[in-house]
Amino acid sequence: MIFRDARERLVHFRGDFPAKPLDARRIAGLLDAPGCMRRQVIDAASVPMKDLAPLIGCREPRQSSYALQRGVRFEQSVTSNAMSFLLPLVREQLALDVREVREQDLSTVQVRTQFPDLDRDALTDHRVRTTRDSVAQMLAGDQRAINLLRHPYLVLTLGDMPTYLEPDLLAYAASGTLAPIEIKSFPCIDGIADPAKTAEAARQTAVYMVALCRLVENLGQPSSRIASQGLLVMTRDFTLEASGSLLDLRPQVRRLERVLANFPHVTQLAAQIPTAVSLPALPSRDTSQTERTAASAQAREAVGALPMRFGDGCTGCPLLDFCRGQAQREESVAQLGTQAANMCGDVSTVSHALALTAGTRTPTTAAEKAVAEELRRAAIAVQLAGAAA
Amino acid sequence: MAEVTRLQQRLAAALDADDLGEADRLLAELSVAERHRNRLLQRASAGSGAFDAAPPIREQVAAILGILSRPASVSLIRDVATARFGETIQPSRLASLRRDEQRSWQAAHRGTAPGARSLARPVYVVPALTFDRFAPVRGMLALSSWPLEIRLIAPASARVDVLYIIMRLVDELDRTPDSPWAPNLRRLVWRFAHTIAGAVEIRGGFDYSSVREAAERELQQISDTDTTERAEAAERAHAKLDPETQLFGATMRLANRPSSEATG
Repeated sequence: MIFRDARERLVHFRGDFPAKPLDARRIAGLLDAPGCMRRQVIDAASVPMKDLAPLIGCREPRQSSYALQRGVRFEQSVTSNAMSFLLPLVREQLALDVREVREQDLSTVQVRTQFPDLDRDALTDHRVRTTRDSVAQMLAGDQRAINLLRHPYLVLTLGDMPTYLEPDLLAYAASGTLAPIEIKSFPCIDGIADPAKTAEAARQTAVYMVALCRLVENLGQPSSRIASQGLLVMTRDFTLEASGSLLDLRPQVRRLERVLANFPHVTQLAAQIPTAVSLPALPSRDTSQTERTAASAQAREAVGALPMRFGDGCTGCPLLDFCRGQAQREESVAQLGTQAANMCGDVSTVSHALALTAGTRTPTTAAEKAVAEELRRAAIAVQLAGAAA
Repeated sequence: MAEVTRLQQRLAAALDADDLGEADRLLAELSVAERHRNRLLQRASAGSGAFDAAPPIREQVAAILGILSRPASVSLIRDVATARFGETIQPSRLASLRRDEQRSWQAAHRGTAPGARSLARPVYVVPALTFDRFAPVRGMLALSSWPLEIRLIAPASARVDVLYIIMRLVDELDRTPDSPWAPNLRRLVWRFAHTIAGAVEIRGGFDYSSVREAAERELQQISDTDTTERAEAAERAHAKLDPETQLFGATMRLANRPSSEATG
C-alpha cells in the first residue's frame, strides 16, 4: 500500500481500534520507556493503553471503585465553598496572602452550565483561551488576577500532536510565582505518604508544569515565573481532611523536557510503522469468544511488529507482560536489565554470552571480547566466593 | 412493606448471581424503601396523620437560604439542613430545582391579567449568577428576594459569602445555645473556623466569638473590592437584562467551530 504521508501510516496501523487523547499520566509514562519505538508509535497513534494492554494479554492493575469515589469526594470537598479547606494550605505553603482569594472555575461542568450550546471542540477552545487570558493577567501582576484557578486547560505538543491537560488547580500569589496544585486522596499518615504514589503524583504534576512553561513562554515571559515546587494535597491520616506537601519538581521537569524534545515527529516514525499489520476493532461485551481470540491475535501481531527497546523502565509500562514474554522467547540479554544489556553491547542473546564465557565460541568483535572477559572474571569471583560456579 | 420484601428477594438473587453492580443498586433502593417504611410505621404509631410529611425540597432550601442570607453552595445547604433540621436533602432531588423554579416563575408571569400575578410565589430559589456574563453558577443557590448585587458572584465573592455565613451561624448559636441542634451546628462552624486566620487559638479555649471576630477581620480585608465589583456588575445587569434573566441568568450563545454558520 502506498501512503501519502506518515500520519496516514499511523492511522492505518491503528485500524479500527479506538483513538483516545493522551493524558498527563501517559505522558509521564514516557519517562519509563525512553527511545522505545513500540511505545512511541502507540502513543503517537493515540491508542488507549487501558484497552490495548489487556487485549494482548497483559495483566491490568485493578482500581478500586471505592478509592475512585473517595478521590472524587475529597476533591469536591477541598474545592467547594470558596475552596476554604484549601486556603490554610496555600497560605502556609505557597505564600498566598489572606487577601488573595480570587477564584475561577474552568471545569467542563461549570463551563457547560454557562455555555450550554458549545460543542466539544468549541468547549476546548474556550477553556484553553480563558486559561491563557487568566495566566496572562497573573503574569502582568494585574490586581484582578485570579489566585486559585480551578481546572485550567493546557496544551502540550507531543511530536506533532496536541494533548490537552487539566491540572487540578493553579495558584498565583502576587509576591511569587505560579504553582500547580494536585489533589490526591491517598493518605499522609503521621506526616508520611506512600513514596511510590507520591513519586507518581510528582511526575504527573511535572507534566503540567512543562505545559505551563510552554504557555508562559508563549506569552513572552521567562519560565522562571513558574514555581519549582508544586503542592500535593492529600488526606490527613484516615480522614477526609486536607493536608499539603510541597514537591520539588525540577528533576522530573528536566527529564521530561529531554524526553519530549526527543519524541520523534511522526515523519521520523514513519519508516518504523509496519504497513502489513493493523490493530483490530476493540471487542465489546457482545463479541463472541472466537472473534475475541482473533482480535487478540491480530493485536499481538501488530504490536509485535513494532521494534521494542526492553529495559529497566519497562516495569512501569502497561505492556510489560507482552514485551517481557517476547524478550524471554528471544533470549534477550535485556531481560536482565539495562545495565546487563549495556555491558553486552551487540551480544544480544544470553546463550551467545554464555558461549563466549565457556569458550565454546571464540570472541571476534570488540564487544564479544569485552563480554567474554567480564563474564569470565565474574565466574572466577563466584567460584572464589565458594558458591557453586 | 411488600416493596421492602420484594427488594430483599431481588437483592438475595443478585448476590447469588454475583452481580455486584446490581446488588449495589438494590441496596440503595432498599435503604430508601426501608426508611420510607419506617417513617410510615412511626406516623401510624404516633397517630398524628399526615402532618409529619417532610416539607418539599424548595421550602427546605428556601428556609436555609433565609437563615444564611448569602448565596451558598448546594453542599453547604445540605450540610446545614442536616445539622440544623436533621433533614437529608438528596442531591438528585435538587437537580431539577432550578428548572422547576424557573418554570413556576414563567407560568406565574405569563398572563397579562393582574390575577395571574397573584399566582407568583413571594420568593423563588434562583441560581447565583456570574458577575461578568450573568450566567448561572453551577452548584450555587440564592433567593430571588435578595438584591442583585448579592446574587452576583465576583472572583472573591465565594469567600466573602462563606465568611458572612459563618458569622450568621455563630449568631444563630448565640441566640439559642442550648437547642438540640446546637452541637451539630457547632461542629459545622468548627470545620470552617480552621480556615480563618487567627480564629482558632492553639493554646486551647475555642471560643465562638473569636471565630466571629476573625471572620470580620478577614472580611475587612477583602469585602470592599468585592462589594464594588458586585455593585458595578449589578448596574450593568439592571441596564441590560429583563426581569427573568436578572433572576435566572443568561446562558450565552457562542458560535461553534467554523463549519456551523452562526446566525446570532
